[in-house]
Amino acid sequence: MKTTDTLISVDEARAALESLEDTHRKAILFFRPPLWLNLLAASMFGMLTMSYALMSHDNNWVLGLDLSLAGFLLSVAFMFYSYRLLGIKMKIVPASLSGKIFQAVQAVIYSAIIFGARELYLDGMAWTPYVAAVLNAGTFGYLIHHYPTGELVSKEGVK
Amino acid sequence: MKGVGFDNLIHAPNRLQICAILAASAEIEFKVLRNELDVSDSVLSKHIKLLEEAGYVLLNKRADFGRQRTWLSLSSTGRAAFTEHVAALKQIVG
Repeated sequence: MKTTDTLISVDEARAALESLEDTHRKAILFFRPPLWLNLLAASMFGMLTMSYALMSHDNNWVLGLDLSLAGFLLSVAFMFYSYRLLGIKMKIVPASLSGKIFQAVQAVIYSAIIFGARELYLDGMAWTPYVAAVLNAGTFGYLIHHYPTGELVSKEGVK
Repeated sequence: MKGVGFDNLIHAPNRLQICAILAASAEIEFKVLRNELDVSDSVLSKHIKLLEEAGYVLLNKRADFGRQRTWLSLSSTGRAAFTEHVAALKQIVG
């Protein structure tokens, strides 16, 4: 079925790529989760980061960590469930290589912030858990809002 | 000009959009895709049939939440063809 013998002009190819970018941008709006759910998941993730940094053997932050982890997982699960009800089954891992790299970089950054905040807190920098919580929550919320499919899509279109 | 991996079947505007939307999700319901593309059932069915015959799209009819739904997804062949087609377009643009 595949044919490679068709000749198309540069302008036609550019127009096709622009329509593709446009479809991707529409898909981002379409796949974007509701803001309240995004805020809930992001704040749970921030709470998780802060609780992990502040916890010690016998303080209440261990409970905070458990609750925020449960809240985060539940809100993400509900996000996927609500997509399913709407007739969309989302990918957990993006299909493209750039998407996979993008997600791996996010995972490394989140982990570095979570573990780095705890180490710095234990070294005596009392402000780090709060800053780390805001950073992780903000980054998570921003990325879910702007890149809900996990794929990197240019906002400028094809030049 | 022509690019390696250019695919006539995918290049039609509606089919290009179908592939782009399917590539961004694991599966999508027929009605959702129809609404997103703003086309009729018959137009979408025609395009899906062509893509299915080429082995690019997989159809899965199953009952979810008590009603019959048709789910569409891009096969690995379709995903590869779509990726190659986009690469070919980029190669042509330069």
